[in-house]
Amino acid sequence: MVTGAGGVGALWNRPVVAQSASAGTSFTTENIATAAVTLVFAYLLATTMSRLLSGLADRFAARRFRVMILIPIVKFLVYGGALYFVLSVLFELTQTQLVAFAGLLGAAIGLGLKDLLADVVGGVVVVLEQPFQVGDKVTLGGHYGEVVDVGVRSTTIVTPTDTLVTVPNFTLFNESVANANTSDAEMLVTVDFYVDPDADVDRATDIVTDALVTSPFVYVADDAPATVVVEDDLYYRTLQGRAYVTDLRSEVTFKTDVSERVLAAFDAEGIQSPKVPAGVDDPTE
Amino acid sequence: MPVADLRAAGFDDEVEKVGTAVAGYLDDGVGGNVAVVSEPYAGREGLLAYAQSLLDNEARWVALEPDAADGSGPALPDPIVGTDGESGEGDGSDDQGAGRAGATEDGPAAGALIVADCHYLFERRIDGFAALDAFLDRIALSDALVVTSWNRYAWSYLDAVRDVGDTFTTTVEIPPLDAAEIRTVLEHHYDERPDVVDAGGAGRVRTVVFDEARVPLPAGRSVGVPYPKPNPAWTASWSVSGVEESVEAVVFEKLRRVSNGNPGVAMAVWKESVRDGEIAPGYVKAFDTDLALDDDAAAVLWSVLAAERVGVARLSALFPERPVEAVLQNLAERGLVTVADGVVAVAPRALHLAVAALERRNMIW
Repeated sequence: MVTGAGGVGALWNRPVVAQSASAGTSFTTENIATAAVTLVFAYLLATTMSRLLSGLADRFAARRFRVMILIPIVKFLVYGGALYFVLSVLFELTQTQLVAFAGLLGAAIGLGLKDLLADVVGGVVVVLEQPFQVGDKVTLGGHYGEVVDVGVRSTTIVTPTDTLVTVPNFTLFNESVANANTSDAEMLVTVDFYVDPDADVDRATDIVTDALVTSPFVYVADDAPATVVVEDDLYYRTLQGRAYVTDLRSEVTFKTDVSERVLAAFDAEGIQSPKVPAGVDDPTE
Repeated sequence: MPVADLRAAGFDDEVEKVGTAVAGYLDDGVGGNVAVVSEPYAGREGLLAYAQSLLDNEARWVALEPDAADGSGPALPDPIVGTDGESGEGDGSDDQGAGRAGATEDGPAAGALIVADCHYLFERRIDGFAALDAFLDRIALSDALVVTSWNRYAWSYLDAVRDVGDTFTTTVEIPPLDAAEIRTVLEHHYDERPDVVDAGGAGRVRTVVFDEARVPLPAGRSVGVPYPKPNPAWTASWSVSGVEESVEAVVFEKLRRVSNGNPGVAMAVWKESVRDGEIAPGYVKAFDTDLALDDDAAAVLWSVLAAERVGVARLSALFPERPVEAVLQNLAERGLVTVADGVVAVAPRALHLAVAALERRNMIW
């Protein structure tokens, strides 16, 4: 039996000798190769499954969340299974060794792995508690965007400006998470318009309402109404259109569609933008 | 579709609902607003014609045109008509009743009004609901009997954004048919029936078809990997229970699945599927259900589906920022719509493919 194969590295070499002497380890070249292959296979399997599920989810469009919920679960199962397999191949842990291993693990965590472990535990919490899922629009760690991946250590979101942000999972324990759609395809979107106090607000409200409900991206139902809220200020009036989009990925497109048509209609109807005196904050800026 | 076909198909409940509303008006002078709602090609005109026949063909019949939303269409006659036969503002010049079931040209003898294709009263744009709102206001205050017909997809949209259903005391929705009912409709409608045959190789439906997935390789290369998937056409030829039926039953079951129980679509598919006096399961072609639409195509297709037929010019005016002509060309090439004489309509055979694609995009509620 070959123990402590030279190619494994210093980190592995040292405990190999000690543990193999006490029996319970199987650091043969074959086992180490098996473990390595297992980890590579787990990575490929998790990546492939994730891509397949994402592709399948895209076909369902509005109902894609029912599929996407499986992605982090599959990842955790694959990586968890692989880790269990690797440990069972490399270690034959007796009770004594288990205690020793736990002690080593505790020391390692205390010395520098606590953040990593917190991230992993945070990942488990995401899977079990599901404060968000892949596909949700969330504000996490101060970043707003669509969740595109929930990993073992971190969550990846894409912001509206197409920036990929990786947020450590332990952020969940320190900060609140805002979820805009709670795993529904539909999501409430607001669009603000500012008009002069002398403008015909009733007519402006009708225009905004029509623009909301006629957008190809809108979803309207009894529990998802389209409304316009009017707020009065000294120098302007705010018309906030509120409506649900059919798919949260259409958030920006919906806002653009509604804004373009409303502003064109305002121009055609002579509905003026506010004229804010100098020294007063301009709401349109 | 004639009411006899509707009855033959098992639409007795729907026919009775219309009959009850008309009887209440004839017997007691009780008015009311009736909405007949169906998919395109599903036969709602038959129910309107039935109501007209019960009214001795004396109700004023207005068939709205696609331009009704901007007020250039036929004026709606005032449904509130006195017993002396005095009619409202409508001049009846555009009434199509004269050509339908013998409706009179000189107006109704009582306050009954039939309005076909009310989904033309709106357009999905800012200020596109004015004609609809005016019409609903009028009939809401009316004591007359008003029987209307609506496209099912326009109706569900308008019910969500305008609560259009609140104006109608009776709503009659034409449900989908099962295979046996489709068979009854076809047997009732066509005098001559084709021979049902097992067409062998030419008509046999393959159980599995192969598609290809691209697997990425290093250096930006990729390789195509074929994989099997169930053939939708074969799937459609089986009953839900999975038990193979007789060839004839398979034909009608496949017709049901392709038409989604829509009698008009089933008739169109049947007509296309008969070859030299014969029909076989393999002759009934099913569309591939995997249809992807981009934003432009989805928006245009929804408008065509909800309007049933609409001019290219109107679509271009409705979507000034979208490449309407290019989108229509693409949709027509995929068999989803037909374009003839500048008028776009959803193709009967592709109706449910289009509906499924829009449902996946959450655009049909």
